Amino acid sequence: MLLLTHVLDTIRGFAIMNKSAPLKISKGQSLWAITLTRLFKNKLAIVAFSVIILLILMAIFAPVITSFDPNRINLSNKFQKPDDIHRLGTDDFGRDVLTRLIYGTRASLLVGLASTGISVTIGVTLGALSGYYGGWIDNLVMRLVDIFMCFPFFLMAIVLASILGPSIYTVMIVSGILSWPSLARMVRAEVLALKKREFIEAARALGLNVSSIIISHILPNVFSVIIVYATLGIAGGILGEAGLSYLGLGVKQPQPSWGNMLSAAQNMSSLMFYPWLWIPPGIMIFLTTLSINIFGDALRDALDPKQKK
Amino acid sequence: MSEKPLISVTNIKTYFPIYGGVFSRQVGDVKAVDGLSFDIYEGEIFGLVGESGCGKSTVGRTILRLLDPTAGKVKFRDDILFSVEENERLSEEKMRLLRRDMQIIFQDPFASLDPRMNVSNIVSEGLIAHKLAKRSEAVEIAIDLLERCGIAGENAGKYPHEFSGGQRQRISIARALSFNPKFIVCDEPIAALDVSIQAQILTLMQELKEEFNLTYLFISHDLGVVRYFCDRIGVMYLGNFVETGTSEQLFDNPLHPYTKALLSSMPLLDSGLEMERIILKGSVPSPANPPSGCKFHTRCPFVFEKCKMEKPEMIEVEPEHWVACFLVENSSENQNEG
Amino acid sequence: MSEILRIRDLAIDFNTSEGIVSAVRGVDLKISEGEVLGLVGESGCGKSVTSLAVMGLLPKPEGVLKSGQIIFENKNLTAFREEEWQKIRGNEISMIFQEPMTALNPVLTIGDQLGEVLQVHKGIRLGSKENIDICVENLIKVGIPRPQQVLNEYPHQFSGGMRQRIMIAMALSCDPKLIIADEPTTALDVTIQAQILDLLRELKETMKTSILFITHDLGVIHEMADRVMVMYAGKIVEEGPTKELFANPSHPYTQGLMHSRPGKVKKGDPLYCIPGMVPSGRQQIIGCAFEPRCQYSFRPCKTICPLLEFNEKGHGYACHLSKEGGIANVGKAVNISN
Repeated sequence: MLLLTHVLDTIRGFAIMNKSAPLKISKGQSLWAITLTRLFKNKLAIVAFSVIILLILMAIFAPVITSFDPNRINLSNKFQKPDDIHRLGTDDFGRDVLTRLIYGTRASLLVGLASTGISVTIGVTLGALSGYYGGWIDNLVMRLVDIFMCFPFFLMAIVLASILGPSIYTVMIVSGILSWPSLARMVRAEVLALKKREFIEAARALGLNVSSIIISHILPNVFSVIIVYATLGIAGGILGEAGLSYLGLGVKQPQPSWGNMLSAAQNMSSLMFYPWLWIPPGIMIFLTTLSINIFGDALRDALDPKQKK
Repeated sequence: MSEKPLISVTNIKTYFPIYGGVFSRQVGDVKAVDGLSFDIYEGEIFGLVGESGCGKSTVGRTILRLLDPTAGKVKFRDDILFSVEENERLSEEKMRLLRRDMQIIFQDPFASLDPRMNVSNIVSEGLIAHKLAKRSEAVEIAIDLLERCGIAGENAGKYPHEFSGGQRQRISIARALSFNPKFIVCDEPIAALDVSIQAQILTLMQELKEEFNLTYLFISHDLGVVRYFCDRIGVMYLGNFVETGTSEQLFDNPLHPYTKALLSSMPLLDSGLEMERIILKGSVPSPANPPSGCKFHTRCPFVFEKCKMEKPEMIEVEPEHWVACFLVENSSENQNEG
Repeated sequence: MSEILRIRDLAIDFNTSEGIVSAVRGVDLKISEGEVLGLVGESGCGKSVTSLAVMGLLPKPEGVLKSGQIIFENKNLTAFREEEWQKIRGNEISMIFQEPMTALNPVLTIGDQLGEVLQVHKGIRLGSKENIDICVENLIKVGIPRPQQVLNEYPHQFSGGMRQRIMIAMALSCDPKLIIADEPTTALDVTIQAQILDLLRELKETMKTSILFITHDLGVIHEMADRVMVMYAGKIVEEGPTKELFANPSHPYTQGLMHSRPGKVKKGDPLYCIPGMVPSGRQQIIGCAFEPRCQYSFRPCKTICPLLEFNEKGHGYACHLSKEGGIANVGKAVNISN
C-alpha cells in the first residue's frame, strides 16, 4: 500500500511536469518517499521484508515448488524420516510434510490478510466517523468498542466457531471481528487530534465538503497509524489461526495449515519420536510472526522519526 | 474607502461550553467573545489586538462560520451569514459559494499546510473542489500565485516540510488568494516568524492588498505591527472591545487605561520616546468567570466603586474613536459642564 | 569589575540524520560581575545552543563541542565531568527557560521544587524550617503574594507570568553568580512581559548577579542589557554597549534587523526587508555568512570571513566595510532606501 501511494505520487508529479512543459518543476520528496528511504536504511527491516516476500511467493507458487499432492494419503509410507524424497518426512497418513507446510502458508497468510482486512475496514470506518462527528455517534461507537473489548478472545472464538462450524472462514471472521476495536480507538484519537489542526480548518474555509476533507486530508494523515496496525494485525491473524486450528476449531483437516499440523502432532509418540511433524510448522509460525512484527516496528519508526532512539 | 461596509458584525458572542462532573453535564461557558460589534469597509485593514485569551482569534473564525456563534449577526455585503436572534443562517450551499470571497491565513505555518500534499495541490485544491478549473489549469493558476507570493514555480512539486516558516506562510497566502477573494482574515500571520521574515511577509501582504483589492481583518498581539499596518484598530479585553479608533487616534491619544498600559508595555528601541510605563498588576482573569462590571476593573490602576458594579458602554469621543470607560465618560461630561 | 564567564572560540556541531549542522562557529564572549549581557539573534543563529553549552546541557550524542573553552571563575567547564557539572548547575549558574509551563514538574508542589534545589546544593534538608524560610524569602523577592500557601500548591494552579516568577525564584535559590535567561518573556503577553522585565531589572539592582539574557526581541534587549551581542549563523557579528550599539548599529544585519521592525516606520512607508533567508547551517560557509543577503556585498565578502574590530568605545562589528570607513555611509544609505 505504501509503495502504491508512492507510485501514485510519482505519476501525479509527472502529470504536472508534462502539462506545464516550459517550466521544469522539481518533484519534492513526499513524506511517503522519506519513509521508504528511511525504511530501507534499516537492515533488519530488509531481511524481515525479504522473508515476507519469500513466504508470499511460496504461497502463490506452491504447486510449482513441490510435486506432491498435500492431501494424498499413503498409509504404507507413514512416519517416514526426512530423506531425499520426503525432505521433511511424512506424517501419520503418509503425506509429505514439506508439501503440507508449503500449502499451509496459503491458509496462514489468507487468514492473516482477510482478518486484518475485516478489522481495518470496520475499525477505520467507525473510528473516523466517531472522531470526526463526535457527539452521539462517538458515544455509540465507543460503547460498542468497550463491549467488544470485554470479550475474551478465545472464549468468543470457541463459541462462534461452534456456532458457525470450524472452517477457514470462521477463523477469518472471528479474528477480524474481535480485533477491530483497538484500531477504531487509535483512528479516533488520531482524527480528533487532526481535526484541531489548522490545515483542516483551512480546508473548511476553502469550502470543501466533509467527505473530501475526510478522504483527502484526514485519511492520508491517519494512514501511517493504519498501516502499522495492519502489518502487526496480520501477525495476530496468523497466530489466531494457529491457535484456533490447534484447538480443532480452525482450518479443518485434510486442508493443511500450520496450526492443524501442530494439532495433529499432539501426542506423546509424535512429540518424542517424530519431531519432523511439529518442529517445522512451529518454526514457520515463529519466523513469520517475527518477521512481520520486525517489519511493522521498522515501519513505525520510519513513519515517525521522533519515536526513534 | 466606500461608505457601505463590506462586513458588518453586530453584537456577536461565541461561548464554548465547559463540561464537568460525572455525567459530563455543562457546568459553564468560556465566554471567548462576549458582544462585539464593528464594521469593516472595503479596502480597509481592520486590526484586532489583545493579549492571549482575549478572544481575538475566535472573532475571525466566528465571522467565517468556522465556529458556531452563540449570539449576534454577521453580514457580508448583502448576505446575512448568520443572525442568531432572527434565526437566520445562510444555507451550506450558499455559504460554500461565499467562502470564495472570504479566506483565512493562520498563525502557525507548520500546522496550516497538509504535510502529505505537495504545494501545487495545496494551492489548487479549492479551485478543483469548486469546479472552477480543470486540474491542469488549476495547477497553472497555483504556480502563478505561488510565484506572485515569492515561491519559485519549479518548487511547486515540493512538500511543505521542504520549506522554511516564512516560505510556508507565503504558500498559505497563495492558497488564500486562489479564489481571488475580497476579504481575508489574517490570524497572527507573522507571530511565528523571525523579525527579518516578518517584514518580508508584511510587505507582501501590503502589495497583494493593493493588487487584488483586498480587505483584511488583521489579528495580532504586536502593537508595533498593528500600528504600522492597520487603518482602524479594536483593542480587545476578555471578549469585549475597550477602545476602537483609527491607528493614529489610538496610538497618539489612547484613552482607555488598558490601551495605555498595553502601549506603555511595548519595549522600545529608542530611549527618548519612552512614555511613563504603566505596569498592570496580576494577569488576565479567566474568561469562564469574568469579573462583574467593567471586566478590566481587577487590574485597572484607576478603578473606583462604579466600575465593579456597572458595565461601561462604548461612547464616541471623537469621530471613529470609541471608548468604554467611566473615566472618559466623566471627563467628557465635566468638559461639557465646564 | 572582575570577569565571571569567558568563552573562547566556541564551536558546536550537531550530527543530524541529514548531515552535520554547524550551530555555533567560533563565539567569543565575556561577562563581568553584575553585568547583563544581551545575546540577540533570530531562530537558528546558535544563541540557545551557546547557552546550553555553558550549562553543560548540550544534547548528547548529537551535540558535539568541536573546539573552544568555557571558563567560569577560572575553571574550564569544557573539561568537566558530569558530577562536576551538577555541582555548578543550579548552584553557581542557573537558568530561566522560555516555557515556564514545561520547565516545572507538574506533579510536585512549588515548595518541593524550590526546596529540592536547596537540599541538593546547600544541604539544607527539604521540609526543615530553614529550607522553608529561604523559599518563602525567595518567593517574596520575586513578588509572589501569600508565599506560605504557594509552597503547597502545584504549577498548574498558576498563570504563565506567575510560573515564570516561580522559575526566577528557583533560579535565585542558591545565590548564583550567573543566571542564563533564555527567552524568558517570549511566551508571555506584553503586559506580563513588562512585569517580568521590571522584576528582572529590580533583581539586577539588588542582587548584583550577572545575567546572560538571550532573546530575539531587540526592544527587550534594549531595555535589559548593559552590553549587546548580535549573533548571525553561529557567529557574533556585532558587539557593544547597549546605548552605543542602538544609536549606531553598524553591521548591515543589525541595521536590517532594526529597520525591519515596524515600530518606528511611519504608516504607509515601505518596511525595510532583509531579502532571503538564514543559511541552514548545513552548507559550509567560507566568507561572511550574511553575504548572500547583504546589499553592500563586495569582492572579499564571499571568500574572507570578516573579524570583529572594535573602536575605542568598545563597539565592534565584523564586516569588511569597516576598513572602507563606510560605517556611517552605510547607515545613511539604509535610511535613504527606506
